[in-house]
Amino acid sequence: MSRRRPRPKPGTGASQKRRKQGRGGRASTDILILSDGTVLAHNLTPGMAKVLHKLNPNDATIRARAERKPKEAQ
Amino acid sequence: MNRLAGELGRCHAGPSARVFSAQVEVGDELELVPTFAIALSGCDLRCDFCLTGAESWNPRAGQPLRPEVLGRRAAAALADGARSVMLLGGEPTVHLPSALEIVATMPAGAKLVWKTNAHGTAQARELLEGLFDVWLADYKFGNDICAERLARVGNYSAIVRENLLWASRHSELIVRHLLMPGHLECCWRPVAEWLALELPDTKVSLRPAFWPAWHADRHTELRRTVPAQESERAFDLARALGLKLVP
Repeated sequence: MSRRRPRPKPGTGASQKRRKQGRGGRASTDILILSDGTVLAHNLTPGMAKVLHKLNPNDATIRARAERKPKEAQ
Repeated sequence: MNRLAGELGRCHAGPSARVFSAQVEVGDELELVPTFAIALSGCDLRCDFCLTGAESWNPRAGQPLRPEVLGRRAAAALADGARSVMLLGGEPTVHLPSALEIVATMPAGAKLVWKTNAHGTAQARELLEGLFDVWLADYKFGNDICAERLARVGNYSAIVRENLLWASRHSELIVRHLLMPGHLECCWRPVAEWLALELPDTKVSLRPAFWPAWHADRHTELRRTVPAQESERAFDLARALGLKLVP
């Protein structure tokens, strides 16, 4: 049940010198690989999800995200 | 607290927000991804295990906010198949004016997600009413002692519970709990039992992928990941209580 308030008018944002926003302007994922081979990921990008899925196709959590279809494609 | 006059509160944020990450991600709850996730620097909590501690504890991290640029990038991401736009931090509540600026630039019809620690004031949530389709809210600690020890915050439970109840009445709500090693009984169990009692129809996202980030090594029990057995017990408890778990 979402009640959407009319959106406010765009204000004047602070100046920004960089064209892209993000860590260094590039998409990034943080990964922790444990000694038993378990891989944990944070800020998981679609590209990295595909890579991790190839490494371990049996990981259901990663598989669901790697195979997640874009909205229009469903 | 008048930030325009140079006063700084607990979060140390000034009047201008900064962005430390803005990208398409798929790691959040499945129904929301792919999401264009916009992370603002700064937070009012001091979680020692924060995965983005360098940016969340430092509101000067990242790049200055340019809402129009974010709006264009969000539109491109949505056109490319993203299901939502997520505003997070740090904690976005510490930058309410900037959050409103960002919302104003978002494409009409975009599903907007407010990712929050649910520790804001009543005044803050009233200002947010109706702006976001989904509140993705953390319920991190099951008692005030753990909240004080691990995040240096007082009166945690009462504030979070009040906000969760409010959010459940005003938007779609997903409650997220990051399972911490050694905190199943003191944190997850009270959280789960409260959710089962007070918000039985609310979606719950139990996240077992804790890792010892930032200053987690200040706490002996947080110097490891969650053992598989502990994770299984946590999910068993959720199922036994009839929680509506979402992947």
